Amino acid sequence: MDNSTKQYDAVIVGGGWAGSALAYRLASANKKVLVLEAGIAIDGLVTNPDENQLVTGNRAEFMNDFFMAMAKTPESPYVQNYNAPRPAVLDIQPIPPFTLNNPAQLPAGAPPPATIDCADPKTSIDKGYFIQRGPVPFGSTYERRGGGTSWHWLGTSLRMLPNDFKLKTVYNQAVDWPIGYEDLSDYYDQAEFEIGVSADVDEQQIHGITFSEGYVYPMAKIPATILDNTMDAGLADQTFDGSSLKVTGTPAGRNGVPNQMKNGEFYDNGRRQCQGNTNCTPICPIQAKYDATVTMAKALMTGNVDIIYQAVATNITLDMTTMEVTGVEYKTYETTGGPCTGTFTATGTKYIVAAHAIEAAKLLLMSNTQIPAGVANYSGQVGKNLMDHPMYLGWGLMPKPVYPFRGPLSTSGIEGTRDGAFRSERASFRIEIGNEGWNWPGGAPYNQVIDMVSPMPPDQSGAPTVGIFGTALRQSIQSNFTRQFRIGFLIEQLPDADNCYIVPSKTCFDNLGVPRPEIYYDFDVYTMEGFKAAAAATDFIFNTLGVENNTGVPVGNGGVFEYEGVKYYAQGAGHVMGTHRMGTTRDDSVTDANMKSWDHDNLYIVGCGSMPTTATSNPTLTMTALAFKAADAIIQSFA
Amino acid sequence: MTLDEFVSLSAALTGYPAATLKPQNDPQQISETLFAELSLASNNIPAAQLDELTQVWNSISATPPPSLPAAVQVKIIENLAITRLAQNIIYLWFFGTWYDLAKNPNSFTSPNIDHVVSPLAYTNGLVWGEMGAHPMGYSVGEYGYWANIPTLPQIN
Ligand SMILES: Cc1cc2nc3c(=O)[nH]c(=O)nc-3n(C[C@H](O)[C@H](O)[C@H](O)COP(=O)(O)OP(=O)(O)OC[C@H]3O[C@@H](n4cnc5c(N)ncnc54)[C@H](O)[C@@H]3O)c2cc1C
Ligand code: SF4
Repeated sequence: MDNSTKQYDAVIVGGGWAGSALAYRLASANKKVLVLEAGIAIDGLVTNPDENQLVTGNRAEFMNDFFMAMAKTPESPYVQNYNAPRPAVLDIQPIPPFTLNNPAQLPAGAPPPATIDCADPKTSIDKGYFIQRGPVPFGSTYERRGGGTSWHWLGTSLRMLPNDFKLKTVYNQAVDWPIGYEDLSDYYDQAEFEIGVSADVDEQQIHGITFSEGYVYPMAKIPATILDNTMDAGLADQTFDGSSLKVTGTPAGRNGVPNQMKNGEFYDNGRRQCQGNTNCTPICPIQAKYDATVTMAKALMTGNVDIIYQAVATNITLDMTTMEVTGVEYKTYETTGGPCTGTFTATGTKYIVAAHAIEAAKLLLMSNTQIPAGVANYSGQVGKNLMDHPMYLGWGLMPKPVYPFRGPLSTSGIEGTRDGAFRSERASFRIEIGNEGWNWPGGAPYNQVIDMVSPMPPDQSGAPTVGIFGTALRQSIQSNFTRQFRIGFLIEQLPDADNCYIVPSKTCFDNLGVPRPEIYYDFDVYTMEGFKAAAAATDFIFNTLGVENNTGVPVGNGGVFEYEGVKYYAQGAGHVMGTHRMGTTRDDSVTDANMKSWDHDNLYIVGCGSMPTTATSNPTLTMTALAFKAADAIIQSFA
Repeated sequence: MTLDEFVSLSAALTGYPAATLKPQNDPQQISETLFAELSLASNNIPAAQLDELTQVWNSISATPPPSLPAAVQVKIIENLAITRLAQNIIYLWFFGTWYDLAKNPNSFTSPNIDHVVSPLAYTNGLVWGEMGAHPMGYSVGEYGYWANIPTLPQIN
């Protein structure tokens, strides 16, 4: 479809989470919107249903690919697209030297570092899309297709804490946000409605979080698992480093039992109730869990939205007199491995980049034909301050069965550890309780059953060994797997412009010839102290509960680093933040609090990249609230 | 090996009754699907190994049930010439997965020919029910079932 001649009120780059939320909001206010989406379409989510979309995907196909995948990673349901590639967790490998304070030495068994050969984009991308410069590899991934990374989110939808917005003021760390909790409170209500969050207001009033008068979440809290209750029974009265270890239900963007809302109506989003498939990441088979295609479908229903898939934005053009954006150039392709089929320009009155933290920064920095530093980059902060919630995993066997592998992947967590005086010294964290046994750290159930049936010979060779079978095997499975559990610490990271950033590669390109993200990443002492505290908290919790501690080297051990002589294995959380942060001045931030570029009056940049600091809450509920805030500002700017 | 031999051997290796593995009426044809892996050329099963496993099984399959596990232990599991293939039969049933015979299944050396047999083979994997759960990504439970203690299958 060639929409290059049509004039729109707004052009949105990215048909993922933030892009769908913005498109829906603007279209509902009667604005004409064009969405450029780099990846392939989802069946039915097209401007004109009769139109023959070049390539599409759908949930049933994704499920089939997931069932057939040997490694059931977050990416396993979704095939790679060489014209809009995305990173994959299996590609995360240590980069020597793997820490700043460690000599050039690879952990035992790690493959030698491959020099990145990108002569052939496809074979090179198969070895990993990111150009990882380290010293620590960036561990998080995302998805580039209609719906974006919402295809593999877990569903956790916690609000940020009031103190999270004021890290500088309260703890003299990093920067404050240009807004406070009270500025987002109403937008949180709206975001929770759009996503469809199940939670209990009383339980969520922690660390100063308040709710508007009479507020109820759209749906009642998701029932706790046997594991959650076991942990709460043992930990409710315990503290670690002054923080309560009480276990509370986690607000989740998955369907539970509808509540009667403030307006008297029962919430109903038309989707099914969670069946406990224990598969929220990488894919919910029945769409009980929210994803952005829900919102994009509503946006398209307004009739005010056109969407072009297989349209990779590559350049934002400027009027050098007014400094306003004049258009977005994009490249098209017919198949996911085929050649570029053309370059077009989309034009509108307002422009919104909602292409995910890393791709958004890359696009702004690539659009540098007129200004060498790139678009929206007077501050020099575009692409800088790359952050995640690096995760520490602890795992073990409970003394009694807790029956994991049942219910949503996570239903509860420990939130008491998210704020406290310690934040002036070390990172805070929240503790997620996993209902999927050792699936994440230990490749369960596969790896442990194989250890029972075909133990690895001491020389690690392929020689046959003698294991157990029959009744003994069945008994072992029952006794081991019913007691497996893991906890995961989402650890705070501070913005670090000098050591954590992304730039478009000058030497490595994807199949369309678009630069790949080159990533520099590290952990500072604040975060590493957070890891140290997480390990200590794991020991404390496991001792208190009488758990057999099996924490060791996780299967995904690429994020290894060493601190004070101890090795830690960081996992990515998928929470990519900071790369186009908002702030109060043009000198040290990319946008204002409405996510409008300081430099270009008609350009907005929206996503988790807008967040100046990470807090410890999974970021996307807050990002959705921010997207609605930006949408209001954009709508008002037309008036 | 015949399908019947495969099913009776599978029962001895998995600890599940043959009638559970191959029910009278199985519209999903799971035992047939798994059995087909043994004749899949790309699985590179040495013919001598498959023959020996078949012969050994036929020589002990009539052993009275109480002494059968001991016979399987000595003649199959401890026989390094055929134990790896027998282990793969266990994996077919518990995971729906075939592992490259030339390496330890927990080794990820590549290239290898590890593969999931089919979506149905995955969703019928026995490991999930054994622990009172369901295959990840395939649940027929009701909302909230996870708050209740499951019944584990009886082991005889
Ligand atoms: C495994 C995993 C689990 C997660 N779990 C949670 C959770 O429980 N809770 C939580 O809060 N968050 C979670 N997240 C994070 C959440 O998924 C992201 O924060 C969210 O999807 C980001 O939204 P976005 O719109 O910025 O980016 P996306 O959703 O990725 O959308 C960006 C879109 O832009 C498109 N695009 C990219 N480049 C271009 C271009 N050049 N031109 C045109 N289009 C382009 C992409 O194809 C994509 O569709 C998780 C993430 C992962 C990976
Ligand atoms: S537990 Fe299952 S049904 Fe519920 S949200 Fe997760 S994947 Fe969907």
